[in-house]
Amino acid sequence: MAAVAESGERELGRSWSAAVLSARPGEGATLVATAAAALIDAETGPKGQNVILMDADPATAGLSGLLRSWHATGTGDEYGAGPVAGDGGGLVGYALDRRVDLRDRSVQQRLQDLRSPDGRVGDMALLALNRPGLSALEGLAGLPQIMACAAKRLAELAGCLLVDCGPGWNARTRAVCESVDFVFVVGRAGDRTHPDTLRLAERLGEAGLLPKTIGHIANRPEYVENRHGPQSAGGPRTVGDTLPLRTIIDLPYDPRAAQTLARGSLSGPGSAFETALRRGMDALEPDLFRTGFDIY
Amino acid sequence: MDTAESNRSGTSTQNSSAAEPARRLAAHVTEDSGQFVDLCAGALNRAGLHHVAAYHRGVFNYSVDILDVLGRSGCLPAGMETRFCRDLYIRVGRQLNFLLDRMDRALRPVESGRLIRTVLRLGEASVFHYHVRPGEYLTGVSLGRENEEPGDRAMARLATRFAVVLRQRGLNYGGFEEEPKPAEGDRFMRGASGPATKEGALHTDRLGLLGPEADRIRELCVAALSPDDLHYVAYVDPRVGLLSADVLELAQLAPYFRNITRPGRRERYQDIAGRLPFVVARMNHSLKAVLPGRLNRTVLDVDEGALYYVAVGNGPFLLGSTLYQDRVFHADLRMNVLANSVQEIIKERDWHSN
Repeated sequence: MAAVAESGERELGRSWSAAVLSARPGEGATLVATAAAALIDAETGPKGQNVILMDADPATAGLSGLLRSWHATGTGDEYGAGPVAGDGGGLVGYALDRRVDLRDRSVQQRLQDLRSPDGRVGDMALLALNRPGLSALEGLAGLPQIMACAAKRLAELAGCLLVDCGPGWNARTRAVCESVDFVFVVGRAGDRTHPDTLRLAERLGEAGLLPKTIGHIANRPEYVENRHGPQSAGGPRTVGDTLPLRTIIDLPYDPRAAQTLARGSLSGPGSAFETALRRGMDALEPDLFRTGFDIY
Repeated sequence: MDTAESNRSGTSTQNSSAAEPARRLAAHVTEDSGQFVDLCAGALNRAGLHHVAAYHRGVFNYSVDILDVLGRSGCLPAGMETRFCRDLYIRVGRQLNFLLDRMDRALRPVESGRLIRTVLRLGEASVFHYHVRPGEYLTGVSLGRENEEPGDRAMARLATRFAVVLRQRGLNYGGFEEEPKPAEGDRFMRGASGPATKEGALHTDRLGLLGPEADRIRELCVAALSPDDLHYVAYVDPRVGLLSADVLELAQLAPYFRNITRPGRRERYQDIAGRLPFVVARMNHSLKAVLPGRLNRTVLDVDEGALYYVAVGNGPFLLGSTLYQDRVFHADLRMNVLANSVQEIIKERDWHSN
């Protein structure tokens, strides 16, 4: 996203949306998307920023699973309208709501509000993929377009949207990536040369999505010695580096951060993972943390 | 696949005449809504309200407008096609609902009830958002500053007529229906104590490092306060500081502090002031394509009174509040007078600093 950071100060209030994907399962795309959203919300939520997470991985519904322990405080009901009747909440309800044309369908009422028990995160919302109805999406005609439409609508509503696309490349991932502003690829540190990562970059290139693909977020789900030291976020490409994806954020091994997120909150300022992610995101897009209000 | 774009137009949007508003109905809307669509159409007027849309739980149901008529007479924003404006107004309505739902939640701790009416002024145009019943709301657009008040009043009448058809009580949107003052015996809570005059009740706060102009602004804010309508005013420069003045200690306001303390209410107002710049920026960004000019005035009308946001420069703004629902309109007028005076001071300050 250096392109964004280099283009000068982004207009305050302009919405920002990104898809997070990985070449293979278990790389940490879900964790990175959740942690990034929670960090943005913790800082900007009380100042009116709305952060929304969308689970766009029907194969595992990993984001919905990870956030199950978070305090869900509602279903996006407006003005006390109460829960949605009939076809349920989340993306499943949105996809199957055939009473209303897709162009007029509301994604707002399908959202689940999330907050952490410590109150640090309190304005985040989730468009979940709920397990019981998930099978109904299998073979649903037009699912990629439906998911893209949901992502577009969420980006229109919220100031900040992060979509967890899960691993691999398919028509759904492509449709979602086309509908957001930016794409991030999460993978293990040193995996930029892995055939799966190269194949994913190739697919992104074929779809014309490389210009909006900001780069590779290096994650360390297991302890691996980092012999080369951290790479600077958004820094210049190494001379001779011809790989399509450059590393933009290098995250340390920090199992406690993942455990804490799974339990429903952020680890706190002492977390190496959160510190590195916050620093990296700030280097890429400082306006994500800007609210235009400094006196409190 | 249900990506159909099968919205119906009861009266063709292409063929609407001066007498016949353009209607757009979503495919799921049944004839049972016909009476309400007609009510909306009846509320339109060249010298008032120009576009109305109805939503339920964020789903667009229908809209009526006289944009074609305005377009033919060159009253639409320059270079704007009618169809584009219509689509964008509908989209803005959806977004507004989301943002105001969040704002409504932020307002709840103030213990003044639900957000029932919102007015946003962008340059020469105004956007209205009216709560009709849980989950159901109307949005409206008036183009031209002179059409704001008539448009707002038309929206208030329209929302009240919706309530009447549904055999409910109207919410006295905007305090346009002035209600008789309560009898003397009902005005004060039994045993309520506190000052009875503005001077005795005056409370001021100051936060941050405001410039030398702050003292003059404070005087203006204090002068604008009134026990009858404007009960709280704050001048906020988001990057520098905040000063506020209020008469919340008045004994006659005791009924509004059964569930919240006065310091608590002041704190919540400061919290809302902290949210407003971002919400305003979001609305600015969304609306700029179709409504030229920046968002410079917002009225957040709740069950009990209203909050007012008025931009007084590039960043600084005034936040005002009344607790009396039947004085919302009067407090709004007072805020506008105050804003004009403060703007002069800001202009003078900026002129000297340049």
